[in-house]
Amino acid sequence: MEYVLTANALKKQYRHFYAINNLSMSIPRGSIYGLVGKNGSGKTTLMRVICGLQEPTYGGYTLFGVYYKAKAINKVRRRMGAVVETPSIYLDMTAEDNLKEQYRVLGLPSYEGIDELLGLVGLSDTGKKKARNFSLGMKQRLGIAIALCGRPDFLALDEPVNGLDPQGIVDIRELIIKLNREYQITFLISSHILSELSRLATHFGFIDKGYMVKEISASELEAACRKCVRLNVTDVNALSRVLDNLNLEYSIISGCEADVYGYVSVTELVMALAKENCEVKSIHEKDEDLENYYINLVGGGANE
Amino acid sequence: MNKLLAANFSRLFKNKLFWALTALSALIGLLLGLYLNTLDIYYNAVIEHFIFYYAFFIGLFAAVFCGMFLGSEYSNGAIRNKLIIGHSRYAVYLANLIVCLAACLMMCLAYFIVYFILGSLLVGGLVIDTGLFLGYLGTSILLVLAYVSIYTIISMLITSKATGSVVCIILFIVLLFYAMLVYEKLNVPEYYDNFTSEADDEVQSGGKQIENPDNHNNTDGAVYEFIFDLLPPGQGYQLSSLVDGPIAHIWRLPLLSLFITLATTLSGMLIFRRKNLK
Repeated sequence: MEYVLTANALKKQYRHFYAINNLSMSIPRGSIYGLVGKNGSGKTTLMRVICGLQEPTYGGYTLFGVYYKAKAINKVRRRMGAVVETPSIYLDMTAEDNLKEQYRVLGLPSYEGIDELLGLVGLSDTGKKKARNFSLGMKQRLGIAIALCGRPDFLALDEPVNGLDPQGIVDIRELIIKLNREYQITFLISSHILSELSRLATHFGFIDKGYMVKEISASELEAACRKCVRLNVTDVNALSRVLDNLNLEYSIISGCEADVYGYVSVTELVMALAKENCEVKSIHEKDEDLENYYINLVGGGANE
Repeated sequence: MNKLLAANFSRLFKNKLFWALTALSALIGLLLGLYLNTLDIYYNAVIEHFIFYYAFFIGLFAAVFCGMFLGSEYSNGAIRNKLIIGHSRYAVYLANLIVCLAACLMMCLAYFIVYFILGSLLVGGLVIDTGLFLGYLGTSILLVLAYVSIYTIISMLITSKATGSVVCIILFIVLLFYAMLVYEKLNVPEYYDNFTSEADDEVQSGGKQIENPDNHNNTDGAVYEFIFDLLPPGQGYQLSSLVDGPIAHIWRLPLLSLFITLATTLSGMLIFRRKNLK
């Protein structure tokens, strides 16, 4: 598999504190890599390091196969864009002027493509409105448009939906999916809004206290998050007998609850329980989501 | 670095503060040109008396401009856009230094053009030796470079726009006061009269000349002169007050400005290269 970014035993130390500690990760080309972690887990520090804003204390990373200390790294960085924390925009300029400024920084010969970029992020009709008067969502989209100026192959977005309203979140999600599918841009997205990330990401990296706890693809995650039916009954012993007779896999949760895995015929199950004088109080389908998986992985008690 | 310079200059020409300071600079040129005409009534004023007066006020103008212009790179986070796409930190630092130097020189030029045209019309053209004039001009340009280098290192290392701007302005004020203090020390007379009387609102002095204990001997005096030449406001004062006479150490001033520029720029670039940016 071809990787856009690989990090090996990366460490970032601030005085006596390791913001990133022995972190290794690989981002496959064409993926949307969701970096999951609570506040202070090291997500933003990792973003800053791979964007070249900070140097790692130990370890290293490669970008498009080029080691970060190699001379060619500056050339390779042209192939990436990023929005780290807040969008980097000149507030006293219009959206168009901001893009023109970035075109000049990139040394692009003409302003061709600016209208297309503004249309892509939905800012075509902002006219002479200064960026300081933009809503948070508009600023975020302008930040992404600036990051897209050099037609990058890799885009790193740090908390792109933080503070956005529901419509803003949908807009950003659709934009990311569009850029990934139509322009084959690889994404690294950090977020602690797991439900949002679960709708986008093709790969996940779970980070905690600066460590990469686990890397997993979306399909592997789906397989790991097994679907089940949770039953609440009056007699869990009777339920156990019935489930054994039906050859179903299950786990007892409490004195009145059990999770049943695999296909369950509800009618057959309820009739069998009725024969055992066991009443079914409630029944609902349950599948472990990204949030549960994450909490199980890093320990729920420590979570905010 | 050409790309960064193109982007920086484009931003400069849209910067309102730059145009406001340039206009203010031209206004000072206008006022001093008219003042020169007033002086001409009392004695034979010549245009070169205030021709380098910008060397005095540019210290403050540069502090305000560099602090705000470079500080906004951090406050907007725009400096990240340059680094993320692979511009080296040295190039970013130098491009910022060059654009600030150009901006401050343009402010000086605005003063110079207005003052020179008005002064020429009112009191006539230059009477100073051309070589000396060019020497003073070069000295003033290097002084502006020294100022800009000092403010660039401050603005590039302090990531808060407000703090950086305030530090630049306070530093100018501190240097100015220190230069004034040194100037005062240098101008203490060697001897003073042994009596003075202020009877009937008339001050009279005379008698035997007494050695002034506050006067500094030759070694002390040389040190104070060196400090006065080293301090940019000290240089600015000397260039702006040619009406009092020519500059004593014409070769030392540009060399000291170059020293300040090299020391601040090299150390600034090295520190900025290692700086953790957010």
